[in-house]
Amino acid sequence: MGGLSKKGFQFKKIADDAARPRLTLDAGALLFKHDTINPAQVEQEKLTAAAIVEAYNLIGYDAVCVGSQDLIAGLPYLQALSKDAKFAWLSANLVKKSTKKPFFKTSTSVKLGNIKAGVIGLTGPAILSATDDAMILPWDQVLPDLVVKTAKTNDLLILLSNLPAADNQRIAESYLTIHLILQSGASANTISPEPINNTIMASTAPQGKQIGIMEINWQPAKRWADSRTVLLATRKGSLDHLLGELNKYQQVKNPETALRNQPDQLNAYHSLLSQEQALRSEIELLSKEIGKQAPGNNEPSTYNNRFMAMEKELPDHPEIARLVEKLDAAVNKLSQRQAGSAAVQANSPYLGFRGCGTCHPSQMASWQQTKHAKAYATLENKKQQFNQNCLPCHVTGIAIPQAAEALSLPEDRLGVGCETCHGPGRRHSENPKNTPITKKPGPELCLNCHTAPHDQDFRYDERIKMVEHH
Amino acid sequence: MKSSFFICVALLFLAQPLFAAKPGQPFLLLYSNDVHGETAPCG
Repeated sequence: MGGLSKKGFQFKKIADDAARPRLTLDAGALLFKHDTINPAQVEQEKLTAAAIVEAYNLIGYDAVCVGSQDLIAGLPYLQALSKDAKFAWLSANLVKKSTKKPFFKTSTSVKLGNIKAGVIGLTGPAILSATDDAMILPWDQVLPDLVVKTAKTNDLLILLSNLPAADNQRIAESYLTIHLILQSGASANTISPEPINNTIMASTAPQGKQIGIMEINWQPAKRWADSRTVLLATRKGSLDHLLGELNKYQQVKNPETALRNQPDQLNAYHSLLSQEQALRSEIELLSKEIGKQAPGNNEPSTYNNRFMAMEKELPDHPEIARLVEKLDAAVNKLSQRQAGSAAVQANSPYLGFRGCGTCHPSQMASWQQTKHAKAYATLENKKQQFNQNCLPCHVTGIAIPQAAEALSLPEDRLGVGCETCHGPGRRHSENPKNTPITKKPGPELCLNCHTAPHDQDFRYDERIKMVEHH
Repeated sequence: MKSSFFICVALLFLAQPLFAAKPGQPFLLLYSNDVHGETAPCG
């Protein structure tokens, strides 16, 4: 799952189908994989970051929040990269230490039909270089004034927040004029939008696996339908359904008489009648309460949210697909250059699967039938065999910080081999009795690669059966 | 007298949209977060 070209295609298709104004936003943490950059991978990561900005230009993003993770290649790098962006990079609290002036735009305004949406960005806690004269101000020092200022010139206010979830919650509780908070870095999962006072908070699953799609009808009253309005609509729906059920019984002139000899049916009919009564009373009560609260023209705004998984089968945005292909080629070229200089450790403790197979031929044959054995081939098929972000989990005996070494491994360490699960085998091969190997790996080992973002459905007990051999 | 009455009625008629409620604005919000440098899946 995932992929920029799939996202690009869907965003365009959804917007074209909807034929209504579109606002496209990203809440941040878009450029880099981890919280730090492996020095051997700086060039690859920067190539990727530049391609992402180019893809976002093609997709037509309106604004993006500066996430703390977007700063790991250095503030000057992000500032330079932001010049290539056709969208606004936003951060109201990443400021110069000496003057407290922001490095990026604090907010932007987007016209959507007859309304204007104001968008503000806030960066989460980040480690900044001392030479950058930069600091992250606490959100409560910048947000109050900015909200007042932005609310004056916009009909709707959206916060792109890279802050911790607890801060977002506090903001939602305190600021009725922030109508929507889109979060990054706050959760590994999707957060279905729920109103807190007058603020809706939402976020999608990470790593581009999903996109969020919200159809909004924004009304001049600038408030979301509250829980009672939603409940009223639900109850009215239930009543309609119930009346349909009752109608089946009421086809005859007198259901009581007709069902006299069918006690079960009669009970069911009575139960529906009492449910109808209860629903009508509740609807009447809710309507009265809402009527009191909202006299005159005070129609609430509504939203309808859905998440769409970026499945492999979805079509690609042709220009972005070409861009990603170009990036892969550039990463390959770069890595091939590095491969020459990245020498595999001489006297490596790893033996390679052929070495293991000398004494354990049946186990090797069994392993060769597994997906583990084909893990490197899947990278080759995707032309990602030089991608150092991918390699450590598709070869044998390479930890993430040593990813560059994976570029010059012998052929029998390409793929997830015996020693990935059983540990390095060289010493064991020299002295099997005194240097035993791990017989069966525990879940913690598998979880190094089968992480939730890459393999959400991983269940140790089920998967271990797929690689078992005796 | 008569003509000024008609002018008033006409003005009121023309000004009506100014007093009428602004209609709701439907729009589409497309959003993402935490892309984490993912351009295409590894394999």
